[in-house]
Amino acid sequence: MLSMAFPEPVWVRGVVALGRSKPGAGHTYFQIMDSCPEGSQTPASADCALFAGDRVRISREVGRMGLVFELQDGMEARFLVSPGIYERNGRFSYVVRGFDPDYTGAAEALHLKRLMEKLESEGVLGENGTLDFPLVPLNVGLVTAEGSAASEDFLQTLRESNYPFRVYAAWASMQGAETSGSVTRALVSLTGLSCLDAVVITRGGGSATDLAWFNDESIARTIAQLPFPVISGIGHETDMTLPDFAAHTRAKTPTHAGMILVDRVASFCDSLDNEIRKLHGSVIPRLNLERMRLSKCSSSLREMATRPAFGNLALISRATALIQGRVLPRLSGQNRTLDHLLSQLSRRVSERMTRIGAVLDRMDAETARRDPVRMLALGWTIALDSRGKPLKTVDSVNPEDKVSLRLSDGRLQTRVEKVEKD
Amino acid sequence: MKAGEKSYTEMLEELTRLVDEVGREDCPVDGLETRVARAAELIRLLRERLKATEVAVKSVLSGLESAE
Repeated sequence: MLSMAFPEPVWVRGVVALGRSKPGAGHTYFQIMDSCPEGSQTPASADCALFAGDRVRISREVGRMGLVFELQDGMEARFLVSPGIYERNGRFSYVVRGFDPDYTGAAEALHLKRLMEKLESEGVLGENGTLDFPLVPLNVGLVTAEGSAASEDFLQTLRESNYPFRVYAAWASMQGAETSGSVTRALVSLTGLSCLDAVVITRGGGSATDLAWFNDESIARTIAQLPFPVISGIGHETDMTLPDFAAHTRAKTPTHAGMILVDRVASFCDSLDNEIRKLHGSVIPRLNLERMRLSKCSSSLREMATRPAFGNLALISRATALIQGRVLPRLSGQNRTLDHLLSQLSRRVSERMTRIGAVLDRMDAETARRDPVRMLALGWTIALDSRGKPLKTVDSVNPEDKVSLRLSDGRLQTRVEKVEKD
Repeated sequence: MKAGEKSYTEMLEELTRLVDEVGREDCPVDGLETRVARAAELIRLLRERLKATEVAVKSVLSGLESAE
């Protein structure tokens, strides 16, 4: 009856739920669920069977489109199915006949678009991009799968640069349901390294569904909170995942992520070389010029310093000679003045004494000339009255008065007979 | 020159005055001895001052010559 109702395969769409099934080489059984259940309703689901033959065919068809067919839990998918009843348990199921890779990509793109709008409105996407990218990012944190081709490509790029990069790896699961938690933990673990200049999160190419695991809100939020700029290099050049938008810089591939770091360091080295060349080109000539000026100044200074010194020495010599020629003779002149004054003093005192002597001599002579003894010897007589006083006139003498006459050799006691006045 | 000490010029003026005085007739003989004694003292002091000045000047000049 079902085959009558659905004579041709029909397209169904929903979310893949693998459950315990592991897609492998053989048959794969999974469920497809309603991707948009209303409220808290349990989503409608249907069993699906992908037989090995169909799987190989579908993989080949998708591969011709440059894609990889791989069932993953939670992937939005559109399958070409043949509805039927599984005979063993009598349950309704779809037998998968085809796969619409365009639908899965579009669904994932829509999911990514919604996430980006949400995170953009919260400012999460631009947060890491506001950090300054160091000029010389030599200390690099690496989040990738240990031993992966992406890891090797990235590290090889750094090694070939010959710059002294130091890589601090935080290995993580880069595919499947563990991707979000593992990558987030790895990113957080790097925050303990304060020496880091940048962090690279990378993995190689894969199917859209492989890469879709990175379109995870928690990874984007963790990147936004990191104190280091993040380079996101997930998948190939055409792949875009949420970390590409949340990171500071997007790299097309793991190798490109390495090249971004190498180019940054090389750019710094080039600029350094340029600055050194500029230094040589401008500063060295300037230094030479200044050296010449300095040398000239030094010579001038020496000349200026020595010229006055010689002049001053000559001046001092002349001054010394002048002092010797003027001061010492002046002192000698003063000595002669003193000699002269002494001579004058001596002469004047002598003259004065001579004059005084002459006066005394004259007085002596006069005295001697007037000596009565001398007069008496010349025949002169001194008449004295009765009281012994010299008689100078006849007025005081009367007749009969006694008069004593002093001669040179004795006295005559006489009496006055007669007074005759001339 | 110490404070209160007469300068060379002042002493020379005093000496000159004394020399002049002892030659004049109005100068009493009793004062001659005192004046001559003071004049002799001044001459001695002035000679000492001159000698000290000469030694000091020669010392300074000798220092200048050795500095050259």
